[in-house]
Amino acid sequence: MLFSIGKKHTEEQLLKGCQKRDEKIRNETYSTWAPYMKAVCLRYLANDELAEDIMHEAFIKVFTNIDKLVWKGDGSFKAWTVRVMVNCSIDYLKQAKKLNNVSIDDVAEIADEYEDEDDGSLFGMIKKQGIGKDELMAMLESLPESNRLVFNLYAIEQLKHKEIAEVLGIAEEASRARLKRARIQLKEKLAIRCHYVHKSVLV
Amino acid sequence: MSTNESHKIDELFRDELSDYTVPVAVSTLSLTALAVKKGLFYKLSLIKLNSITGIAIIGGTATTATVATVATVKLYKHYHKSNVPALQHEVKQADAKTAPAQLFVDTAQQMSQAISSENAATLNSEEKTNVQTKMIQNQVSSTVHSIDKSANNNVVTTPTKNVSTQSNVASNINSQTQTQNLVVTNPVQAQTSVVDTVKPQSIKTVRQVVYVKPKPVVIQDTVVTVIKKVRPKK
Repeated sequence: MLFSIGKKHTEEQLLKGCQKRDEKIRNETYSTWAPYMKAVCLRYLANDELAEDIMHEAFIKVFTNIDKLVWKGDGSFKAWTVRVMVNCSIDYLKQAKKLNNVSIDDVAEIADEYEDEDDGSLFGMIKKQGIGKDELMAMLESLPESNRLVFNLYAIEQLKHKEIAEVLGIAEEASRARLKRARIQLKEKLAIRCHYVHKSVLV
Repeated sequence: MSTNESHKIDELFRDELSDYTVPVAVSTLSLTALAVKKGLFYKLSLIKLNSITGIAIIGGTATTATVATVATVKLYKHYHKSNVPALQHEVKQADAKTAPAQLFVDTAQQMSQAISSENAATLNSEEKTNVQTKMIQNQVSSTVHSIDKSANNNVVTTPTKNVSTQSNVASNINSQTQTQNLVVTNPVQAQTSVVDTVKPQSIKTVRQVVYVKPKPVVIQDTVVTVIKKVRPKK
């Protein structure tokens, strides 16, 4: 019966169960992780329905390729699943040919756009006012796709620019440029949200 | 922007969003249904909600199966005001050229019409059962006929003898109705190769039915909610 989730298992038990093609364990894995995994996909795809669709595709990949995974301690199965989600999301975007390239001119423009300037008071306001996860997610979703992808991979998945360049098939410089642009855009959104006015924010 | 600021922005989003979750609208059933196109689960979709209500989702794409499955569950919840008691879901792939989604939507519409226009609220359980049984019987029969035709008579229909006895009103249905109500279509073995075939026309059919015939209201809401989950395939 597909709706019976059963008792909660440890991550290792989930992995072993999925490797044994245990349908109940698969369902438990899905039920437990789906909301988190959907959020991962949503960070890349910025579309709720699409995120859910890709998440399903990714789960199917997880279940069909689960034999390749070797247990390496707590968090390894989930981390691998997250990576599958990320890869599926990026693959979708690549296939959709939505990834835009940044020209060298853009790189130069961004590099010159802002001088190093400590503007810590904005973060003081953020801390004071408090910004919810949903709001931050909305800000992230509103970024242009190319910038959002790089920011996700760098800031949240904590990949290096070299790795990002390989994943996205772009130059490292382009990755840096997109990250910088994403940060600037996010800073602008944060400033607007906090009613913060500063010359380095509102240009 | 300073390096310090850059790190703060990264940290802010990482700390807040690394454990962020989003509600998932569809149930585990859709995962099974989606798996159809990956060849994990074949054959024909058969959903028996209980001994009275049977909705057969026959053939179609994975997306169609998802739509129909999720919508069926929602429909059940709406109509019975409770969760599905014992849902047996068997996915088989038949002929994708048939219109399983059409079958479901028509059934949903008829159910709603039965509820609203015939003032089902005043009907007793047995009458409701008979209304449902009749229309599902018609739907299943016509769809099986449709499949039979489109599959060049390769489909064998087999009346199911094993009728669930969960419902206390099941005994009120005569044996002929039971048999016809729970018609099961055997998988078309020769056509399992269509598993990976995307049939956008199936999705189109659903949309046309839902949007062009915007009634019944309550059920339509349910269905539309589900339809929104459909992403047109390329």
